[in-house]
This record gives sequence, structure tokens and C-alpha cells, in this order.
Amino acid sequence: MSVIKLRPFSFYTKKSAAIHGVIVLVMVGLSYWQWEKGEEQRKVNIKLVQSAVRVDVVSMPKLTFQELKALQKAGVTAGSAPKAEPEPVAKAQPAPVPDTGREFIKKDENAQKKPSFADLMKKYSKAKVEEKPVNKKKVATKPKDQGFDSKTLSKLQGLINRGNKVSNGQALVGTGDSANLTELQAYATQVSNLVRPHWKLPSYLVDKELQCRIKIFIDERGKLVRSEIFESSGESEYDTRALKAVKQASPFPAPENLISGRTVRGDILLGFPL
Amino acid sequence: MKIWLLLFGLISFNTLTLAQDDGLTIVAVGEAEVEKDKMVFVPGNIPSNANTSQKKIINEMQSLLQNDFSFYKQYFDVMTPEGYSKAAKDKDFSDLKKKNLRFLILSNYELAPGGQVSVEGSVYDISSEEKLATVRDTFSANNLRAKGHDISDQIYRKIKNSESIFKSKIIFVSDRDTTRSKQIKELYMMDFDGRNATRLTFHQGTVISPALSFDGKKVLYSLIKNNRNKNRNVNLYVMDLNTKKPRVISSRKGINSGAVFMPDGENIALTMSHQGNAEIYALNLKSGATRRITKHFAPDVDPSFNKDGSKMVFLSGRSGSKKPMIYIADPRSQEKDVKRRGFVGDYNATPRFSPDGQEVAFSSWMDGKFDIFRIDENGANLYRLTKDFGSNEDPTYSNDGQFIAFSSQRVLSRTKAVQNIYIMTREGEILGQVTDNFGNCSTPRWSKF
Repeated sequence: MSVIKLRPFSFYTKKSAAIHGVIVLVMVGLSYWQWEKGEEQRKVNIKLVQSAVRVDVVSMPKLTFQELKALQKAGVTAGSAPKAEPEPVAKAQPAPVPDTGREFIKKDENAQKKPSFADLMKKYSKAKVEEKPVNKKKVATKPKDQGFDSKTLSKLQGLINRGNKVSNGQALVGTGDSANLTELQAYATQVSNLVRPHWKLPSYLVDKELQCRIKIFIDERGKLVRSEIFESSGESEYDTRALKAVKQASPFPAPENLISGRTVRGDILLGFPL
Repeated sequence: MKIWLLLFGLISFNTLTLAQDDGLTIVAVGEAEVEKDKMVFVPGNIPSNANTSQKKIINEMQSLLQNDFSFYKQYFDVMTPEGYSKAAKDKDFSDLKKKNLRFLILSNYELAPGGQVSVEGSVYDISSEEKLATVRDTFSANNLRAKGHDISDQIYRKIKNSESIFKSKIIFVSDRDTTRSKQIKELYMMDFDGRNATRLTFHQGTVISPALSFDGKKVLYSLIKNNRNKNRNVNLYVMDLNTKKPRVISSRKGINSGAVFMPDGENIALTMSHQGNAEIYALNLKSGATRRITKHFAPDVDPSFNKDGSKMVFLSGRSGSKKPMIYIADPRSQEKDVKRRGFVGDYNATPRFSPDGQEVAFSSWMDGKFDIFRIDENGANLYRLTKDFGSNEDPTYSNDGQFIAFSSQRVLSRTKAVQNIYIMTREGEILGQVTDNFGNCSTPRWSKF
């Protein structure tokens, strides 16, 4: 038989205070951790916006509307295919140079050259390098340290390619910033970018404001296993066209191991148009 | 107790946001690209007793209809009738559907008195298997093109429910009468497809900056006379297209040019410099009264209006730099709502509003020549439309806003260059040259009716 030992009141007060303290600490820690995580992305976001705006205002566009259209189509397919990095991007990745003095000289060299996309890219990745010493140790161990990581770079490239065009958003829900973009969401966006060029409708179906959603199943090698109508538009021709677009766009890039379990389970829904 | 609940609430909320990424992920593919509609023009019955000239005009009508619709490349894929004829004549819709055809225009011809031919065109929508319209007309060799464009227009209206360019005209200046001793540039008018060019002016001088009224009944132009005397001036003329009689409107000292009609047809806007500095004025054609629209120490030139006259786009040097930039104002009173719209370009010229006032097309100096650019009315979406295509100037929107005509100059040798008028879609897809072997053609203006 156990005897309940009565402790002095102060004991309970201390215990309670300790537990409260721990909880508060954990919460503060958690929110700080989240804020910290977002901070990095916020910086990237600001840069993305700046790069878009700068390209806008500096000069008359060199590329014609038709060229931009072609580039956008080509960019989508090339950018999202695995390992297919656009040339100027690869060149623009500078070796991390901690010595700011040397960097200064390099920048001057750039200034004499005619500004090109590659140079623009260089400038932005340089800026990131300058910030590096401020970042914490944990960042230093990541491959992200090499200027922008490839995902951000291709995003940047896409933005610059599009130049002065306002593009439609893709996310259905306001996720605030792209920091919340999970692996799966990123992959799904990639898939939708690949499907878009194949998504075509005859003019009589365009004005009807129809919508359908398609569930897609992708195996670990990127092969489209199955696609099925999740929400029908009610117009069979519309649904068939959407299915056709998905089929034509496949095979997709192989999903990363982390998410392949979910892609094969059919966790990705494509909305036509939303 | 309450505090505990609150704390637990907060913690569970935190974990919730972290574990949000379970379940389905939905991504939007976005709006579909509109597929072009396949259409075909099939000649039905051709009367067997038609003579050669009648057969000829029937063929010409058939190719005119086909050609008209090929201008709307962005909407239609015009197919050749081969391979569709039999199914079309039998009205075998399921076979046509298999061939992905959307529109079928089946025209039956019959002989009419006086060597004329009457045509009955039936327009079918294959996707819904219904007849959209029947168009009837009688034509002869003389009025074939006018009647043909009218039939095309009726068909287009039934299909797209909006106006077409088929009945529109383009006025332009050509130097084809220039002799070795005298430079002569006169005003001409042609159909949108470059046919039926007719001469409008006979001044034996140099006509510059023409303009067509919104109803298409009057033209304005400035004239530099060839005779040399001390009163030589650039004067402004108006011509009624019914009577073809020119009349001087303004002969004030200095520039009297760049005149355009305001949408009411009563007033015009022009650049005048009689008060010292180039400014934009409104001038009443009946009374001759003027009203200042711009008032600034910098020069303001080249006005253009949208269809309802609520907006005017013009060039101004008021930014301070020596480069003329694009501005938009409300022309109904002086210096009202002036907003800068262009911020780039070494030398911008001839801004022209689209009829709906949503876009401005202009030419700008780039890499040693002029190219055509387009910008939204609010200053967004600056697009380049032409490149490596000679020097391109004077854009002008079609009446439906879907096309832009412009003049393009190509240097052939050190002493020779040729200038012609071209048409492109508003997205910069060039459809082709509409003037050919007609001297150097410049300053096209597309009618807005």
C-alpha cells in the first residue's frame, strides 16, 4: 500500500512553476525556430521580387512577345526536367569567396561588360555570398551555401525569363510565403508546370467556366501509373482533354524518395483550371 | 485551469501548423490554351452552264472568303477543301467531327441575270451539328471584293459575335508618282488586305501624317507644297471622302501637323507651335475655335484617342530628359489627369491607342532602327513586337483591336531602300505584307469602323 505523502504547499508551487517554465521555453523555442526558418525564405522572396522589378524598369525589352512565349514554353519543359539546368545559371554560380576585397574587384569587371542575363544572375548570387558570414553554422553545412540552390536559381531564371509579364499564381490557398511549400507541393507544382503546355481546349469549351480535378499516381521513377477524375466538370469532352494533357505530359521527373510514397498513393490533385 | 487550457491550445495549434502537409496536395494547372478552330470553305453546287468569266469569279469569291479568315490566325485554322468536300456535301457531320473540324461554310452558287452570280453560304457548327446562319448575296466581277468582304463579315459575326476587320480600310502615303525632279507623296486608301488602292489627293506635293475619322467619312492630312516661296508652310487639310474636295483648316505659322480626329468627328486634335512651343490643341472643324489640351514648357506632340474620347495618349519631353516619353491624359480639359506611362526607350514615337483604350502601340529606337512595342494603358506589360524585320514605324490598330499595321523599311543597297505596309497580330505574329510594288508606302492608318 502506498501512502500519499503530503508535501508542503511550496513544493507544488515550485513544481508547477517549473512545468510552466518548460512549456513557455519550448513554445518560445518553437516559434523562434519557425521564424528563423521563414527568415531565410523571406530574404529569398525579397530578392525574387527585386530581380523581377529591376528587369522591368531598366530598359526596353530585347526579346519579342513571340520569343518570350516560345521561351516560356521551352523554359518550363527544360527547367523542370531532372538535371536540365539552363546554361547561364550554371555559369553564374560563383565559388564561395569569403574575401570581400576580391569580390569587389570582380564586380568592377562585371560593370564594364554589357549587362546580360548571366551577369544579372551573377549579381544576385554575389549578394547572397556577401550575406553568408551573418548566417549560422547550421546553414554552412548545407549545400545551400553555394550561392542559391538550384531550385531557387531555376525559379529566378524563370522569373527573369518572364521579365515584364504578370504571371498567374499557382497555389490554391494563400500559404503566405513559399517557405511553407513542402517537398510534395514543390513537386506537384513542377508537375503542373509540365502539364500546362499540353492543356488545350477548343474555343466552345473555354467560355463555359468549367472545372475538373484529376488525381494522379506517379511511381518512384516518375512514370504516370494512373490518372483518374476526382471531380468531373460535367462535360465529358472537358474531362477527356484534361486527362489527355496529363498523359501527354508524362513521364514526369522522378520524385524524391521522401515523397515517392505519397505520389504513388495519388496525393497529388491537378486542378483544371483550379 | 484556464491558463492550462490556453497553453495546451497554443501547443496543439503549433503542432497543427507543423503537421499541415498531410493529405491531398492540390495544384492549379491554370487556364487552358485556346485551340484554334479548324474551319473549311467548301464550294457546293457550281452551275454547269456557267461561262468562263462566271466560273472565274466563283473561284475568286471562294478564295477571298478563305483568305479573309486566314487573317485571324489566332482563332482559325483554315483548311483546304480537299478531303472535306464529300463529307461536307453529304452533310456527314460525324465524319467531319472525326477530322476535328469545327466550322463548315458550304456555298452554293447560281447564275443570276446580267452575268451576275448569286451565292448562298451556309455556316455550320460541327461540334453542335447546327446551322448557325445562311448568308445570301448577288455579285458581279465589279463588286466582287466588296460583296465578298461583306459576306465574310456576316459569317464572322455569327461565329465570333464581334466585329471583323473584313470591311475596314487603310489609308497610307505612297511616293509612287515621284519623278526625278520632284518628290511627290500622295494619300491613298485600300482595303485591309491591300487590294483596291485608290488615290485620294492630287496636290503634287508631300502629304504627311494623315488621319481618318472614327466614322471613316473624312481624312485629315498635312501638306508640304512643292512650289518654293517665302510663305511655304506646313498646312493642315481636311477632305470629305464623298466629295473628295480638300479644304485648308489651319495655316498658322509653324507646325500644323500630327492631327487626329477626336471620336465625335467634330473636333480634331493637333500639334501647333504658333505660340512658340509645340503643344496639343483641340480644334473645332466647323467654327475653327481652338482649345489648348496641354500646357507645359516641354513640347507635347502626337496625340491619339481611344474610341470614347475619354483618354488621350501623347508624347512629351516633360520628364526632363531629352527623351520623349509616353503620357496619358484626359483630353476633355487642360492638363487634366496627366500620367506618365513610359519610362524607358531612347526615342519613342507615334503612340497609338487600341480602339478600346486598353493598349498603346508605339515605335521606339533600338539597336539602330525603330521597332514596334506595346504597353498596357496602366503602364504594365511592356512587350516588344518586332525584331530583325527592318525599321518599323507608325503602328496602327485595326478596328477590332486584334491586329496592328505598320510600315517597315528595308535597306536594299547604299542608295536604295524600300518601305511597305505589313500586318501583324497584336501579339507580334507577322501575317505579311499588304502593299507590294506600289512605291514606298508609309504612315498607315487603319479605319475604326
